[in-house]
Amino acid sequence: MPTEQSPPPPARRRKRRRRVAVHFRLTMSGWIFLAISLTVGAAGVNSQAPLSFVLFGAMMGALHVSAVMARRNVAGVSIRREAPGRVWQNQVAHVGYFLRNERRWGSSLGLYVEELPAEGMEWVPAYCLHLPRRSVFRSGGRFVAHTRGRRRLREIRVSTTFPFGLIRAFARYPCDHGLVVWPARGKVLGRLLPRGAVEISNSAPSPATGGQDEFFGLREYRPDDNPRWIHWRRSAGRASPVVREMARTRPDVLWVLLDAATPGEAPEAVQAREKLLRFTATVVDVAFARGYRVGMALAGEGGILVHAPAPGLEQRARLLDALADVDDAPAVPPAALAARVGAPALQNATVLLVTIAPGTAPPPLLNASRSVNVVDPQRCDRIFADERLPTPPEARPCP
Amino acid sequence: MPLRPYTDTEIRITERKRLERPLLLAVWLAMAGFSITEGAMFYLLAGSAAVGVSLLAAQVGCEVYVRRPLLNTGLILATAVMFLELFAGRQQLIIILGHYLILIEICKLFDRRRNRDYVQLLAISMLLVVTGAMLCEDLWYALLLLCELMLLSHTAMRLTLKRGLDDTVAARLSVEGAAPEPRRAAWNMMRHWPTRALLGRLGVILAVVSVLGGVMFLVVPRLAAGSAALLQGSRSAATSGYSGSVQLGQTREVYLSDRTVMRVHVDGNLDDPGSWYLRGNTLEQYADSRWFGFQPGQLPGLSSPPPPRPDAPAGEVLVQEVTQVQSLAPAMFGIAPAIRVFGETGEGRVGGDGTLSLPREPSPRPYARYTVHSWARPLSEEQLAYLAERQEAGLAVRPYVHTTRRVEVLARQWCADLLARRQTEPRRRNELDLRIAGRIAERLREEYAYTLDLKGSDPKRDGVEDFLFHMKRGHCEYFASAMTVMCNIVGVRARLATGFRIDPAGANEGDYVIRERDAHAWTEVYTPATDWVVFDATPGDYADIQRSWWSPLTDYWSGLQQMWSEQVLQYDWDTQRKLWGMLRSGVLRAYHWLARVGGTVWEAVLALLLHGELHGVLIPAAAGLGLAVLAMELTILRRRSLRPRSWRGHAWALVPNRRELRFMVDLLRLLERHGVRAGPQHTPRHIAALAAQRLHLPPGPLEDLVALYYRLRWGLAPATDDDLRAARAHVRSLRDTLRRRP
Repeated sequence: MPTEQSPPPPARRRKRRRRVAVHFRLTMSGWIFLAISLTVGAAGVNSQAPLSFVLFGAMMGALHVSAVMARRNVAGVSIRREAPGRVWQNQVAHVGYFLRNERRWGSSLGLYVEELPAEGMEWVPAYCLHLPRRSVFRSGGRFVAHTRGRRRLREIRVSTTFPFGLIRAFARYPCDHGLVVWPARGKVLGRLLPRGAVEISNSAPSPATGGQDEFFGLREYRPDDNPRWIHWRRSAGRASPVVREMARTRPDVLWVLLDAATPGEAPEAVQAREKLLRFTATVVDVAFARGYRVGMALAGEGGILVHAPAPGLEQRARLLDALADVDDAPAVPPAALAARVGAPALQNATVLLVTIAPGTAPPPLLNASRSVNVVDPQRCDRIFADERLPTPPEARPCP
Repeated sequence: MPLRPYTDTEIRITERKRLERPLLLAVWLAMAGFSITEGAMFYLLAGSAAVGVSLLAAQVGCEVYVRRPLLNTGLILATAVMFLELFAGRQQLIIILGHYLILIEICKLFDRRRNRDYVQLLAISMLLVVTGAMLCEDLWYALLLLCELMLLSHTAMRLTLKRGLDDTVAARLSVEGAAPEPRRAAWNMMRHWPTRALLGRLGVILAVVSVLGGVMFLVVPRLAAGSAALLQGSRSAATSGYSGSVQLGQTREVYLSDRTVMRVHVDGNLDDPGSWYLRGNTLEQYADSRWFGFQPGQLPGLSSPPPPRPDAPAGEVLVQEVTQVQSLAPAMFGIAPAIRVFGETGEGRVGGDGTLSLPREPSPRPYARYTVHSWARPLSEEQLAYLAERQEAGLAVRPYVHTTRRVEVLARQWCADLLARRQTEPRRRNELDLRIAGRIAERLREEYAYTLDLKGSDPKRDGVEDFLFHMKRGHCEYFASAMTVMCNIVGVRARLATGFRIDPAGANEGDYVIRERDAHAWTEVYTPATDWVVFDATPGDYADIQRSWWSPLTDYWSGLQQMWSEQVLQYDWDTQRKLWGMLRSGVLRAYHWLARVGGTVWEAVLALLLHGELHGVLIPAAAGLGLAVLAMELTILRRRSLRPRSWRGHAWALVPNRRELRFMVDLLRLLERHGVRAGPQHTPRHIAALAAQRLHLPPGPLEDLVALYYRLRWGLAPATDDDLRAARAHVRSLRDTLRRRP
């Protein structure tokens, strides 16, 4: 449902409206119409038929009024974008545009709203059929990013072909917006994230409802215990009451050691690295969904970057941003990554070594952690599948 | 012929029905206009039937189409018909092209229409209109052209909006399996169909298009002077009115003009039919379809002083007080035989042939006033002798009448018995001459028809022969010419008289209003015993045509056609040059005036600054400057003080005009009556919330109604009768609730 906003209270002193440069372009229909008009004019001069002169003038007038009306439709509109800051690669994202007609008189009709084409992105323009004067309309567009990384949406183009579809008038509105495209999610076929052990046992369940608490056992009642936790049914046949003891699962820790150095400029190598990144992003997303605390170490421009394990959406966004930003990183041996993280940190964690170079886990890493998984391109092909292979974006002309 | 119901998307989102109706009307107008212009009834009927079927289907929300092979066969047949017409070579190329376009359009009407097909239909209609404009330049076609432009503009606007909706609804990304649900897509694009905005735009477009069309008509270069008239020879037109000359054989249509040209007060008895004619000029020589009067040199002694006039009893004189427009000058009009004429500057002169003249006035005035005295019939011996003596010189000259042999044979055939008797009874010549004239007039009245449309005449033939043997219809000049020529051929002295015919029944206490449409031509036959006697060979239905009950409408239409013919069709290089000359001289005059005024003011300012002298011209200049500054300041203040005004429309007017949504219109009207007014930015949900808050209504029923409205307007599920009945009951209960409140 479009979100309407009432026009803001009028200011005592109106701000001078910024004039927007409006550009024009004849559409294909416009060129044909122009050719027919000139033919009618030439036929009129040749035949001296008075009505043909009137018709020629009317057709020229139609072209002129097309340009004037299209300009008026576009010029009096201001626009604001409401776009997500982070999107997944190859997933449809929605963007909202708040169109406001600032003119005192006259509505705007048939407005297309589209972003200036950004590399690797595909857009469906938003459309507003009717924007009455002094009113706001929220129109929605959709887009999909076919490549990961950071994008900047710099300008919005508002255009119209109203009234006759002969002339397209368009105005560009600067509207800067940063967008991070995370690597696409896929489907992990293997079991890479085993369940962790019980962390502590206590008589009281965790305060959070729906927590990962489970029944551990019964023990005798102690004076400091809460009588509420006495298991009355089991205590009925005993001399002293017994209480329930619950166990809370220890938060799992996942360390992702990423070696994403590109082995060359070959397209196959680039595709292999991209697939590894998509796999890593999927694993990170799944791990957060399962309650893992995820940390990551990867090679960056300034050396090895280490993100300490932490829960929460913020950490998830931080890690996925880092995956989106992976560029031509220098090759770092897995042992160096493990050394940078440190053996104590890896001791009770699940370690996922994602490396583009085929091989096995280095001995220091095997010594440091009980659970080490190594994923190279060959294994990645076996245990990971893309959700949907995107077709290459076509050049979509504005309708 | 398969029928496909419109899809929900077409009904609810792309508003196909709104597009179909004006488009089909535009298509029909284009086809009908061309067919009527060219006179092809088959194409008119076929086109009308095709449009009618499509319109009926659209009215019930269906699309009628034929299968593609059949459609392709139709297109091939249309092309074959075009080539057949082309090879037959009987018609102009432009007509063949028009036929082809009509056939193509009929085929396209039965295609499954997409946006591309709509564009093609619009383009073909426009081409048909252009083709028709090359063939026909009548006023009715110009009006049809205006209607067509309006419809095409309206349809093109709707189509442009529809294309945007269609494209956005159909657009999908490469990673999407299918386009999103149309209802959701539409909800992102439109709140309601902008009918009012489109109508407003249409008015602006028509104004601009008309103005630019007119300007282009004025400024596009024309051919040299007279060429346009030659090109338009077959389509020229003229208005009814008095003209001193008569020329037959002009292929034109005569329009009746209601312009008043004369007022006459007649004092006397008008019982004699001959006194119903106000004669202005007489013409006695005919050659090459044209009538001439006697030149002054051809009538010896005409300039000699008139003989003394015998007295007549007061009751036998018809006194006519005439007020006529100056455009009729120098012609003067009076009932024959006129004997005296008085102007405001003195008595005028009555010529030997009965023409009247007055001393030249020092300064011409828009109206000329004079009084004419005429003798009433029958004339006495003295009066006849006086008249014979007065026109002795004119009667001595034998009129020159040159026509073809066929006319002479026909005249002699009609009057063979009377001519034989005239040979044998020379003493009864006067009586027989009058009977011969009467016979000819009678035959003409009986066997020939009256018409103002002379487009079928052939200018290469003699006018009288063309009238008598080919056209067999014409207006008063043709009847009078034929009779005058035939009378002279068989030896009866006759002449053609032009002037006005008055209707005694239309008198108001002797006052007669004479209009241009009353201009007339008749025949006067001379015998020494009767002087010139009026014979009107024009059929009697001539008067009936003018007095029909719809004559005001036809007169108005004739006036418009005449104006169109004179101002538009006759617009040529000469007129264009004159117009530019007028414009140039106007601009130059304005420039000189401004330069003069500016120079005067500048000198006054210099005198004030250098010598301290205050000239009077500075006062109005300063006052004008002050007023201009004041007006500018007021304009600025006004602009600054303007607030965004409240929306003056009605929320219920934005609800689509559909039967099932009527309850929403009723609800919004009800709320508006109780003070809940909404702006264009408010949705029905907003309005319902506002009403619940302001009017302290239970929000439940209002929300139910709005939900139903949304479902009907945007949803895909049709409403049941129970839903609609419940909605109406809700609205009624709300109305009762609000009515019961104090």
